[in-house]
Amino acid sequence: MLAQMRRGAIEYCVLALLREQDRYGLELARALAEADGLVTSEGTVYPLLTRLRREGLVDTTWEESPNGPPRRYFRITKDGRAALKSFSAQWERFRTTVDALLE
Amino acid sequence: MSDDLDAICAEYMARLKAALSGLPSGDRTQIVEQVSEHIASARAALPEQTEAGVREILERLGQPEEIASEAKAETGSSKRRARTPVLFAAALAVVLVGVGIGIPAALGAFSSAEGPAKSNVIQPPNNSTSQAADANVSVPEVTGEQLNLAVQALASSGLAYKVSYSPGIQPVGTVPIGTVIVQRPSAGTMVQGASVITLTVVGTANSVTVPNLAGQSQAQAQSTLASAGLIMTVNGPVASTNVARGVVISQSPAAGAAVPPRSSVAVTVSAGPS
Repeated sequence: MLAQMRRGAIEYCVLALLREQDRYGLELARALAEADGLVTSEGTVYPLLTRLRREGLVDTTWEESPNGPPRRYFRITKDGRAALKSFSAQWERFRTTVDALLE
Repeated sequence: MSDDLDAICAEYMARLKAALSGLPSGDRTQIVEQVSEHIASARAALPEQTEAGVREILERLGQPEEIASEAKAETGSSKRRARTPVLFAAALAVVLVGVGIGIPAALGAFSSAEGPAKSNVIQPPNNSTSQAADANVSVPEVTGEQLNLAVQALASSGLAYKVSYSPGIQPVGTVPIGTVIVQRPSAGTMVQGASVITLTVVGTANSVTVPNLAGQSQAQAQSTLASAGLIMTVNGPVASTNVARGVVISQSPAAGAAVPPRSSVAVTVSAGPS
């Protein structure tokens, strides 16, 4: 149950992390792994990012790094922002409904 | 020591490739590249290249099989998702262009533009101001170090730095990209605090153009890629009625794509008619 909810929500967590700034893979993976329980291990973020990119919700760009190899930065696209907005609205309603029933 | 660490990472990547073997090759290439970049970035951020440090990076990544099982679940979920015309068209475009869409599609030349968001990531500690301006400081030896370690060493001596890339030296072979090969002034020179030390680093800030490998033998392709500073991985052999045995059928990324130095180029080699 929790695993399925997580699977449904996590791509929007990725899009939300990209809303304000572009991030590179390691940075995204660590941010999600540090958010309690969102991903079981950092590496599982990459299949998700691959799909989001295939679906056009994120795209990528290369940047030099001050201390290491060049980094691939992920950037949210217009479609990605639209998907995130629509999810946020649905999530809000869902959460309110569930909270009301649980109380 | 560093060779041992490279071997540990190479073994992890080999397990990952094997675990991902059932996947569409475009997805597989991307996941492999991204995980490999993750390891490289994480290693560059290690204060010291130790086995414990590298093992922790791999531990946090998770088992390759775990990543592969997630990837298989994602491939399944994507089929349900081609729901809007836009997404469907995008998916179709990926299919038509083929696996070559991997790195190059969204890739312009390397940009050094940095937004404020990006510059807060693993900042090199280059802003030390604790040294008096007239103090004599001995420049530490930083050649042979990765840039991040060199920068730390300079910062702890109260020195600033400037990086220049060395485009003439392709990062092929045993000196990894990001290694400092020249420092000016040299180690042991006495300078004032906050002096700027110029570091020459292996690699180039510019992207490399992927050469066309179609029609080349596997060995020719290997040497073409090596001279472009790229690394070859081989898929197949795959049966083909119109391409001779041992000859490259396709490549990813496609010819003409701009990629970072030392990127992998996957080639599919013909097994001849089956």
